[in-house]
Amino acid sequence: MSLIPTIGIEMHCEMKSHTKVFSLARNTYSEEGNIHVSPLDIALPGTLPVLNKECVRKAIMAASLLHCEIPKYLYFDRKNYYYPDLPKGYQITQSHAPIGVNGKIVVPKKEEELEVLIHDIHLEEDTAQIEHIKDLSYINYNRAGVPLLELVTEPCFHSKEDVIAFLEYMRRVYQYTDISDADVMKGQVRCDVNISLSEDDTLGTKVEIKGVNSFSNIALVIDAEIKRQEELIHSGRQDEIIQETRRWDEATGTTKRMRNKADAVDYKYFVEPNIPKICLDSDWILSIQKSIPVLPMERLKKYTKEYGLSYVDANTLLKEKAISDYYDECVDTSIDPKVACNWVTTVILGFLNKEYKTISDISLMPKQLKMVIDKVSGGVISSKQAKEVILKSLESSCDPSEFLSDDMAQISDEDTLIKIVDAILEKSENQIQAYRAGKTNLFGYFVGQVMKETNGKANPVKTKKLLEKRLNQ
Amino acid sequence: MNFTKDLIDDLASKLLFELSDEENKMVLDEFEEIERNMNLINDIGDICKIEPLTHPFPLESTVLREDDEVFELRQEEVLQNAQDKNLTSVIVPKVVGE
Repeated sequence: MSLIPTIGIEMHCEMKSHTKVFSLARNTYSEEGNIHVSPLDIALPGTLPVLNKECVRKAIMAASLLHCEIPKYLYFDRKNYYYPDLPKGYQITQSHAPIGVNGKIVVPKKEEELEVLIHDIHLEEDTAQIEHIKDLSYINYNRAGVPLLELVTEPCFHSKEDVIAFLEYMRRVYQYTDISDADVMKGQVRCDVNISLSEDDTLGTKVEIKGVNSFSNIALVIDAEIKRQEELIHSGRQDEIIQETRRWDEATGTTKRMRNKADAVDYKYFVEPNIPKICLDSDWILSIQKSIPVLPMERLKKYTKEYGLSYVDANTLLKEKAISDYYDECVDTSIDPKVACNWVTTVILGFLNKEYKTISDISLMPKQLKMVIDKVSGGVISSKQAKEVILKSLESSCDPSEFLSDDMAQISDEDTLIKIVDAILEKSENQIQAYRAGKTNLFGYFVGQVMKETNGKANPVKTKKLLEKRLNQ
Repeated sequence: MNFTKDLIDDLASKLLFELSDEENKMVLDEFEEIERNMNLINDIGDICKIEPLTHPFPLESTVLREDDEVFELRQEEVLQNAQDKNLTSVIVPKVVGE
């Protein structure tokens, strides 16, 4: 019996802003606990939430790029529960009128495309961070009130590969649009995974696995939960699959029951009375939509279809928006797209990886790179010399022209090259005989001799042509 | 909806506290009053076409807060009311089950 898994994802992502979503404390990551906390974040009496415009702007941007319907009025709800990470006793979230509903987005999956249906995306506040050590819990309120975007997909995935492709793409989109740094290492992205198995296209019993904090763990969670449900079905214990909430146990590599539907927490949602109902100005929404930068999917299409880059190269350029922007600037300065890709992905990214630097750390401007590339195409210097110049420029943060000298100029003059080639051939009688007798790999030896004689400055293309002509006479 | 002693106890349990019989009766009496008022609303006919009211005043424009001004408590202020704490954290008994 073949079983089809159906998966839905809730992706929580901390947004980027100067201050928190409802309070004046800084929204920033800090190793030190309880230093970015406002009276509201610890629910001191008399405090009221005041909504941050920048968070609303970014939430509207996210809803727009997911092609969601945006409501005319924005308001919030209270999700009531009692836990030390939530001093107010409720989380301010959006249950009745999310900032975006009924959306969809096309994401790249290797060289194919995958359409993902979005149930809704809503703006809410994060809770405090709790660390459990032995029989105590340590609470840090720095995270309490940090703006969160929760994106809820429809149950539209049927494999872990599709889920990971979607999450990776959304992380990239959030980074491109500056909505979030989406740094998984800092716990800025957390997911809940809903999984059911079925023999046909009807949905089976849904099991939710909460709070998975890395994409690699999500893949493991999906595998483990599918295996658990398959084993129950195949051994005739299907009735043991119940609608419940489970958690990922990293130590055993299995999911563990947290609570079933009967024990489900009743959050008693009601409209947050302390935040007025906000009419979203249609002109403002339009201006936000116009400010959305070109997204990775559109760039991928341009790079592969218009510029003829391979999927792998295009993806390398798209890994970071700053790199993709740098590449675009190179193309805008009239460097051939394939040549620019070669320089950026090999020389520049190679340097950055080796030195643990980012593209914003380098001072080499695309127009400076173009100046060096033009010298190669003009036959003034060799590509090997150009690479050396660029690397020296990257290492020293100096203008590449400082490493170009007249002495470096390539020897392209035919008469000069003929004299050099002839002088070398005169001294290589034995090698010539061997070459003409069939040992054709000696050709490299002759090229090497010319390069040695000219300190690598002989134009390689012209040198090879001359040698071929002379040796095959 | 009928408010009963058991229902009040169940609600209290979900909110992680217990009520004495006296307290339960106090809440129950109050809920009976609330229910009486609810029934007055229930008596109003043909309300299905009326959009639920979320806020009492129809605000058409609201100024949102600009993302610039910062106000934070000092760390010692954040921690000063905690019964148990160390230099940087509030400490409570472990609140997660295995």
